[in-house]
Amino acid sequence: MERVIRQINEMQKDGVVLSYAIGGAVAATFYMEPVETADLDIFVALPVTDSPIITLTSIYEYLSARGHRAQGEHVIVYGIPVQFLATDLLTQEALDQAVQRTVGTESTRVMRAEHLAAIMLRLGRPKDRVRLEMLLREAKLDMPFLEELIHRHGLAQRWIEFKRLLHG
Amino acid sequence: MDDRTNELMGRLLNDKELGRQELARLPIEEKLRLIALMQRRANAIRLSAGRPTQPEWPLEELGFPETSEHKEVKAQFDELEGRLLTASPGVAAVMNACGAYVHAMEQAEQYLKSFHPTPVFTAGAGTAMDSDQV
Repeated sequence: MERVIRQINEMQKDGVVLSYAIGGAVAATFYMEPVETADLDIFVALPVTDSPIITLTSIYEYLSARGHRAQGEHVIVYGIPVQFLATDLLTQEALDQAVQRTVGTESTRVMRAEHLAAIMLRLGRPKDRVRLEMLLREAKLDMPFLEELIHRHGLAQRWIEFKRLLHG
Repeated sequence: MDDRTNELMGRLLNDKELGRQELARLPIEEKLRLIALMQRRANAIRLSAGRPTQPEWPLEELGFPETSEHKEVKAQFDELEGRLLTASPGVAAVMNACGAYVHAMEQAEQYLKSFHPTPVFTAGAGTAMDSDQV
Protein backbone atom coordinates (compact mmCIF):
# COMPACT_ATOMS: atom_id res chain seq x y z
CA MET A 1 0.00 0.00 0.00
CA GLU A 2 2.94 2.30 0.68
CA ARG A 3 4.07 2.00 -2.94
CA VAL A 4 0.54 2.78 -4.13
CA ILE A 5 0.42 5.94 -2.01
CA ARG A 6 3.96 6.90 -3.09
CA GLN A 7 2.86 6.59 -6.73
CA ILE A 8 -0.16 8.83 -6.11
CA ASN A 9 2.01 11.35 -4.22
CA GLU A 10 4.40 11.43 -7.20
CA MET A 11 1.46 12.01 -9.51
CA GLN A 12 0.47 15.01 -7.42
CA LYS A 13 4.06 16.29 -7.37
CA ASP A 14 4.10 16.03 -11.18
CA GLY A 15 1.00 18.24 -11.35
CA VAL A 16 -1.44 15.67 -12.75
CA VAL A 17 -3.74 16.34 -9.78
CA LEU A 18 -3.78 19.44 -7.59
CA SER A 19 -4.63 17.53 -4.44
CA TYR A 20 -6.18 14.25 -3.39
CA ALA A 21 -7.68 12.51 -0.37
CA ILE A 22 -8.44 8.90 0.44
CA GLY A 23 -12.17 8.32 0.88
CA GLY A 24 -14.49 5.31 1.06
CA ALA A 25 -13.99 2.19 3.14
CA VAL A 26 -10.20 2.50 3.36
CA ALA A 27 -10.54 6.03 4.79
CA ALA A 28 -13.17 4.79 7.23
CA THR A 29 -10.76 2.04 8.32
CA PHE A 30 -8.44 4.75 9.70
CA TYR A 31 -11.15 5.52 12.29
CA MET A 32 -12.82 2.16 12.98
CA GLU A 33 -12.43 -1.60 12.65
CA PRO A 34 -11.47 -2.78 9.14
CA VAL A 35 -14.32 -3.44 6.71
CA GLU A 36 -14.16 -5.53 3.57
CA THR A 37 -13.63 -3.55 0.40
CA ALA A 38 -12.30 -4.27 -3.05
CA ASP A 39 -10.71 -0.95 -3.92
CA LEU A 40 -9.03 2.23 -2.77
CA ASP A 41 -11.10 5.37 -3.46
CA ILE A 42 -9.08 8.47 -4.27
CA PHE A 43 -10.92 11.76 -4.63
CA VAL A 44 -8.98 14.21 -6.76
CA ALA A 45 -8.98 17.91 -7.52
CA LEU A 46 -7.81 18.41 -11.09
CA PRO A 47 -5.96 21.41 -12.56
CA VAL A 48 -8.32 23.96 -14.11
CA THR A 49 -8.64 23.71 -17.90
CA ASP A 50 -10.63 25.58 -20.58
CA SER A 51 -12.93 22.60 -21.08
CA PRO A 52 -16.17 22.49 -19.09
CA ILE A 53 -15.99 18.69 -19.09
CA ILE A 54 -14.05 17.01 -16.28
CA THR A 55 -12.15 13.92 -17.38
CA LEU A 56 -9.73 11.69 -15.56
CA THR A 57 -7.85 10.84 -18.77
CA SER A 58 -4.66 12.56 -17.60
CA ILE A 59 -4.54 10.28 -14.55
CA TYR A 60 -5.06 7.13 -16.60
CA GLU A 61 -2.39 8.21 -19.11
CA TYR A 62 0.09 9.09 -16.38
CA LEU A 63 -0.33 5.77 -14.58
CA SER A 64 -0.49 3.75 -17.78
CA ALA A 65 2.89 5.22 -18.82
CA ARG A 66 4.26 3.85 -15.54
CA GLY A 67 3.00 0.32 -16.19
CA HIS A 68 -0.30 0.39 -14.28
CA ARG A 69 -3.19 -0.88 -16.36
CA ALA A 70 -6.76 0.35 -16.34
CA GLN A 71 -9.46 -2.25 -15.64
CA GLY A 72 -13.04 -1.05 -15.80
CA GLU A 73 -13.37 1.95 -13.51
CA HIS A 74 -10.12 1.11 -11.71
CA VAL A 75 -6.43 1.47 -12.31
CA ILE A 76 -4.53 -1.49 -10.90
CA VAL A 77 -1.59 0.05 -9.05
CA TYR A 78 0.81 -2.60 -7.76
CA GLY A 79 -2.05 -5.10 -7.68
CA ILE A 80 -4.49 -2.87 -5.79
CA PRO A 81 -7.54 -1.54 -7.68
CA VAL A 82 -7.64 2.23 -7.29
CA GLN A 83 -10.70 4.24 -8.27
CA PHE A 84 -10.17 7.93 -8.96
CA LEU A 85 -13.20 10.12 -8.42
CA ALA A 86 -13.89 13.74 -9.28
CA THR A 87 -15.47 15.77 -6.52
CA ASP A 88 -18.84 17.47 -5.97
CA LEU A 89 -19.64 20.02 -3.26
CA LEU A 90 -19.56 17.63 -0.32
CA THR A 91 -16.57 15.58 -1.42
CA GLN A 92 -14.63 18.73 -2.41
CA GLU A 93 -15.14 20.07 1.11
CA ALA A 94 -14.02 16.68 2.46
CA LEU A 95 -10.93 16.83 0.25
CA ASP A 96 -10.11 20.40 1.31
CA GLN A 97 -10.37 19.53 5.01
CA ALA A 98 -8.72 16.10 4.80
CA VAL A 99 -6.17 15.29 7.49
CA GLN A 100 -2.56 14.19 7.17
CA ARG A 101 -1.91 10.53 8.00
CA THR A 102 0.95 8.09 7.51
CA VAL A 103 0.88 4.60 6.04
CA GLY A 104 4.21 2.96 6.79
CA THR A 105 6.63 5.73 5.95
CA GLU A 106 4.46 7.41 3.32
CA SER A 107 2.43 10.50 4.12
CA THR A 108 -1.08 10.81 2.73
CA ARG A 109 -4.33 12.72 3.20
CA VAL A 110 -7.49 11.06 4.53
CA MET A 111 -11.01 12.48 4.70
CA ARG A 112 -12.26 13.40 8.16
CA ALA A 113 -14.56 10.87 9.83
CA GLU A 114 -17.43 13.41 9.90
CA HIS A 115 -17.23 13.90 6.13
CA LEU A 116 -17.11 10.15 5.61
CA ALA A 117 -20.23 9.81 7.76
CA ALA A 118 -22.05 12.46 5.70
CA ILE A 119 -21.01 10.77 2.44
CA MET A 120 -22.24 7.38 3.74
CA LEU A 121 -25.53 8.98 4.74
CA ARG A 122 -25.94 10.48 1.29
CA LEU A 123 -25.09 7.24 -0.56
CA GLY A 124 -27.48 5.30 1.69
CA ARG A 125 -26.76 1.81 0.33
CA PRO A 126 -27.14 -1.06 2.84
CA LYS A 127 -23.35 -1.32 3.23
CA ASP A 128 -23.12 2.44 3.81
CA ARG A 129 -25.72 2.26 6.57
CA VAL A 130 -23.81 -0.58 8.27
CA ARG A 131 -20.52 1.33 7.99
CA LEU A 132 -22.14 4.53 9.27
CA GLU A 133 -23.46 2.70 12.32
CA MET A 134 -19.94 1.33 12.98
CA LEU A 135 -18.34 4.73 12.47
CA LEU A 136 -20.76 6.37 14.90
CA ARG A 137 -20.01 3.71 17.51
CA GLU A 138 -16.24 3.39 17.13
CA ALA A 139 -14.88 6.73 15.93
CA LYS A 140 -14.60 9.82 18.08
CA LEU A 141 -16.82 12.06 15.97
CA ASP A 142 -17.29 15.77 16.43
CA MET A 143 -21.09 15.52 16.55
CA PRO A 144 -21.90 19.27 16.37
CA PHE A 145 -19.70 19.49 13.26
CA LEU A 146 -21.37 16.41 11.73
CA GLU A 147 -24.86 17.80 12.44
CA GLU A 148 -23.90 21.12 10.84
CA LEU A 149 -22.45 19.31 7.82
CA ILE A 150 -25.62 17.24 7.44
CA HIS A 151 -27.85 20.30 7.49
CA ARG A 152 -25.65 22.35 5.17
CA HIS A 153 -25.63 19.59 2.54
CA GLY A 154 -29.37 18.92 2.71
CA LEU A 155 -29.14 15.53 4.41
CA ALA A 156 -31.28 16.31 7.47
CA GLN A 157 -34.21 14.11 6.44
CA ARG A 158 -31.93 11.16 5.71
CA TRP A 159 -30.28 11.66 9.11
CA ILE A 160 -33.64 11.54 10.89
CA GLU A 161 -34.59 8.37 9.01
CA PHE A 162 -31.24 6.76 9.75
CA LYS A 163 -31.51 7.54 13.47
CA ARG A 164 -35.05 6.16 13.52
CA LEU A 165 -33.81 2.89 11.95
CA LEU A 166 -30.87 2.75 14.35
CA HIS A 167 -32.80 3.32 17.54
CA GLY A 168 -36.00 1.59 16.46
CA MET B 1 -35.00 -16.08 27.97
CA ASP B 2 -34.06 -16.90 31.56
CA ASP B 3 -31.58 -14.88 33.65
CA ARG B 4 -28.68 -17.23 32.96
CA THR B 5 -29.17 -17.02 29.19
CA ASN B 6 -29.54 -13.26 29.42
CA GLU B 7 -26.32 -13.00 31.39
CA LEU B 8 -24.47 -15.19 28.89
CA MET B 9 -25.80 -13.20 25.95
CA GLY B 10 -24.83 -9.95 27.64
CA ARG B 11 -21.28 -11.18 28.23
CA LEU B 12 -21.02 -12.46 24.67
CA LEU B 13 -22.15 -9.14 23.19
CA ASN B 14 -19.87 -7.23 25.54
CA ASP B 15 -16.86 -9.35 24.51
CA LYS B 16 -17.73 -8.82 20.87
CA GLU B 17 -17.89 -5.07 21.41
CA LEU B 18 -14.51 -5.11 23.17
CA GLY B 19 -13.06 -7.07 20.26
CA ARG B 20 -14.34 -4.45 17.81
CA GLN B 21 -12.79 -1.68 19.88
CA GLU B 22 -9.45 -3.52 19.91
CA LEU B 23 -9.62 -3.88 16.13
CA ALA B 24 -10.40 -0.19 15.74
CA ARG B 25 -7.26 0.66 17.74
CA LEU B 26 -4.90 -1.38 15.53
CA PRO B 27 -2.35 0.51 13.39
CA ILE B 28 -3.64 1.20 9.88
CA GLU B 29 -1.05 -1.14 8.34
CA GLU B 30 -2.44 -4.06 10.33
CA LYS B 31 -5.99 -3.12 9.41
CA LEU B 32 -5.09 -3.09 5.70
CA ARG B 33 -3.66 -6.58 6.07
CA LEU B 34 -6.90 -7.67 7.71
CA ILE B 35 -8.87 -6.27 4.76
CA ALA B 36 -6.72 -8.37 2.40
CA LEU B 37 -7.37 -11.45 4.54
CA MET B 38 -11.12 -10.70 4.57
CA GLN B 39 -11.03 -10.52 0.77
CA ARG B 40 -9.54 -14.02 0.69
CA ARG B 41 -12.12 -15.37 3.10
CA ALA B 42 -14.97 -13.75 1.15
CA ASN B 43 -13.62 -15.27 -2.06
CA ALA B 44 -13.46 -18.72 -0.48
CA ILE B 45 -17.15 -18.34 0.42
CA ARG B 46 -17.97 -17.09 -3.10
CA LEU B 47 -16.16 -20.10 -4.60
CA SER B 48 -17.97 -22.54 -2.35
CA ALA B 49 -21.25 -21.05 -3.55
CA GLY B 50 -20.15 -21.32 -7.18
CA ARG B 51 -19.93 -17.56 -7.63
CA PRO B 52 -17.12 -15.64 -9.36
CA THR B 53 -14.37 -14.27 -7.13
CA GLN B 54 -13.32 -10.65 -6.65
CA PRO B 55 -9.76 -9.33 -6.96
CA GLU B 56 -7.60 -9.75 -3.89
CA TRP B 57 -4.96 -7.27 -2.74
CA PRO B 58 -1.49 -8.82 -2.88
CA LEU B 59 -0.38 -9.41 0.71
CA GLU B 60 3.24 -8.67 -0.16
CA GLU B 61 2.17 -5.11 -0.96
CA LEU B 62 0.88 -4.80 2.58
CA GLY B 63 4.00 -6.30 4.23
CA PHE B 64 5.11 -5.19 7.65
CA PRO B 65 6.28 -1.62 7.24
CA GLU B 66 7.99 0.03 10.15
CA THR B 67 5.34 2.19 11.73
CA SER B 68 5.97 4.30 14.81
CA GLU B 69 4.16 1.60 16.83
CA HIS B 70 6.40 -1.14 15.43
CA LYS B 71 9.51 0.94 16.16
CA GLU B 72 8.38 1.54 19.73
CA VAL B 73 7.75 -2.16 20.38
CA LYS B 74 11.06 -3.12 18.74
CA ALA B 75 12.93 -0.56 20.85
CA GLN B 76 11.33 -1.96 24.02
CA PHE B 77 12.23 -5.50 22.95
CA ASP B 78 15.84 -4.54 22.15
CA GLU B 79 16.19 -2.84 25.51
CA LEU B 80 14.78 -5.84 27.36
CA GLU B 81 17.01 -8.22 25.40
CA GLY B 82 20.07 -6.10 26.21
CA ARG B 83 19.21 -6.06 29.91
CA LEU B 84 18.69 -9.82 29.95
CA LEU B 85 22.00 -10.51 28.24
CA THR B 86 24.01 -8.27 30.56
CA ALA B 87 22.21 -9.47 33.67
CA SER B 88 23.09 -13.12 33.32
CA PRO B 89 25.64 -15.00 31.23
CA GLY B 90 23.39 -18.03 31.57
CA VAL B 91 20.57 -16.25 29.69
CA ALA B 92 23.01 -15.38 26.91
CA ALA B 93 24.01 -19.02 26.62
CA VAL B 94 20.35 -20.13 26.46
CA MET B 95 19.58 -17.51 23.80
CA ASN B 96 22.58 -18.63 21.74
CA ALA B 97 21.40 -22.21 22.00
CA CYS B 98 17.90 -21.16 20.87
CA GLY B 99 19.40 -19.33 17.89
CA ALA B 100 21.40 -22.43 16.93
CA TYR B 101 18.26 -24.57 17.27
CA VAL B 102 16.23 -22.26 15.00
CA HIS B 103 19.07 -22.29 12.44
CA ALA B 104 19.16 -26.10 12.50
CA MET B 105 15.38 -26.26 12.04
CA GLU B 106 15.58 -23.93 9.03
CA GLN B 107 18.27 -26.11 7.48
CA ALA B 108 16.15 -29.22 8.10
CA GLU B 109 13.16 -27.50 6.43
CA GLN B 110 15.27 -26.63 3.39
CA TYR B 111 16.45 -30.23 3.21
CA LEU B 112 12.86 -31.55 3.33
CA LYS B 113 11.75 -29.03 0.71
CA SER B 114 14.39 -30.37 -1.68
CA PHE B 115 12.31 -33.59 -1.89
CA HIS B 116 9.06 -31.68 -2.63
CA PRO B 117 9.96 -28.63 -4.68
CA THR B 118 6.34 -28.09 -5.79
CA PRO B 119 3.99 -27.02 -3.00
CA VAL B 120 0.81 -29.03 -2.74
CA PHE B 121 -1.21 -26.00 -1.78
CA THR B 122 -0.67 -22.85 -3.79
CA ALA B 123 -0.73 -19.90 -1.43
CA GLY B 124 -1.38 -16.41 -2.74
CA ALA B 125 -4.36 -17.12 -4.91
CA GLY B 126 -6.12 -18.03 -1.68
CA THR B 127 -8.88 -19.61 -3.63
CA ALA B 128 -8.77 -23.31 -4.19
CA MET B 129 -6.38 -26.17 -4.54
CA ASP B 130 -5.28 -26.89 -8.04
CA SER B 131 -6.62 -30.35 -8.83
CA ASP B 132 -3.43 -31.21 -10.79
CA GLN B 133 -1.35 -30.71 -7.68
CA VAL B 134 -3.41 -32.70 -5.24
